[in-house]
Amino acid sequence: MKTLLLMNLLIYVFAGCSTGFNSGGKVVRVDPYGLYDTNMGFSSEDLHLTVEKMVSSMLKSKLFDGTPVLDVREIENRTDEHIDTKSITDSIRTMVIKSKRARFIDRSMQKILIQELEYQNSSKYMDKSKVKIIGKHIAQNYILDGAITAIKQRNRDQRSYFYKIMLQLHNIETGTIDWIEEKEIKKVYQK
Amino acid sequence: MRLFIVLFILVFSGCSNGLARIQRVDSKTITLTSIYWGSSELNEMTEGMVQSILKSKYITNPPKKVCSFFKIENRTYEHIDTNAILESIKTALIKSSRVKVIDIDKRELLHQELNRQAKNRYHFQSVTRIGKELGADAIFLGDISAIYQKNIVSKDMYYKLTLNLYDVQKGEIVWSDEVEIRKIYTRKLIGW
Repeated sequence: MKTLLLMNLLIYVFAGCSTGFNSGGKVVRVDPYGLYDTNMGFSSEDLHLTVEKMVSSMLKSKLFDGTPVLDVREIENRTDEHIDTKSITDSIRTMVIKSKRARFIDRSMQKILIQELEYQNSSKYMDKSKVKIIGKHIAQNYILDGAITAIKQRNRDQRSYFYKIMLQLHNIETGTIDWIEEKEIKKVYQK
Repeated sequence: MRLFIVLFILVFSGCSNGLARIQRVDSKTITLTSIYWGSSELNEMTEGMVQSILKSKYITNPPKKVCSFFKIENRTYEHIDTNAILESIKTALIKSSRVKVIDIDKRELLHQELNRQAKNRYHFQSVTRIGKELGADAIFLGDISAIYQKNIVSKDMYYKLTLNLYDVQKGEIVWSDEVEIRKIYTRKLIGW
């Protein structure tokens, strides 16, 4: 009886401690640009590599000498995993805006901006000398869209993932695709 | 019996599980309690954004810009109060007194009060006048996204906050920036 109790207590000691200390593990902040390859899926490394290639290709293209006005549409996700494709275009847009080589409008925000403009020009509460003028919106020359696809293969001791991200600029006036770029990523996991 | 007592002491001293200790810390302290969204991320991201906004040419070029905040879309896997991010940015911008901030959604409330004052008899000097309201020069819109990955020993979380400033008159994005944070959790394998 006594030994049983002792055993119980010993188990309690170790079990109690293991939930108290061991399960903790450690959380650390790391460089978002570091290569960690936690798993095979689309990671922040892949996001950064894609953005980097796309932006450098855009800035090299002659099209961007004339500061075109771009509107970003959706990158179609044709993979079988959840990828936040807006995150890719967000980063590209931010980097290109910072480079000052192109200007961006946003069709999804247009409604809000027009509402505010119309309010300013129609409301009796507004200070009329400081009202923004209607009819000054800049028009887009290009539409940016694209797609991301994946091919995933596996056998008994190897897995390989392949991603291809394609972005293109449609010239609204002529209908031609004036710029296109692809980024390929391949990862292999060996057991 | 003596052994029992020794063991009891061991239980309670060695594993102070039940006896949690609460400590007040500075709210800006970076605590890495989990890989999910925390106050450290909120503070760090808003701080980075505010610095970038105040450095931007659009804001620094006179006259002082009138800005409004639309929203920050939450595209992560977890619940994040994105309005808290906007409010922190707003507070810092107003305190810097380099930007004028208006709230487009609260206009109706102010109009009600204006109309009430105009209808009732107040001392003429103290009455607020109609027709002095400022319109927005630019509106902030942003989003926060995350990439979460895990394997047997670790979890990996990446957050990115993007903020864009839209000029009302031109319809153009006049400023844009992003702040990133990445955290990795590694499970302890041995030891206690």
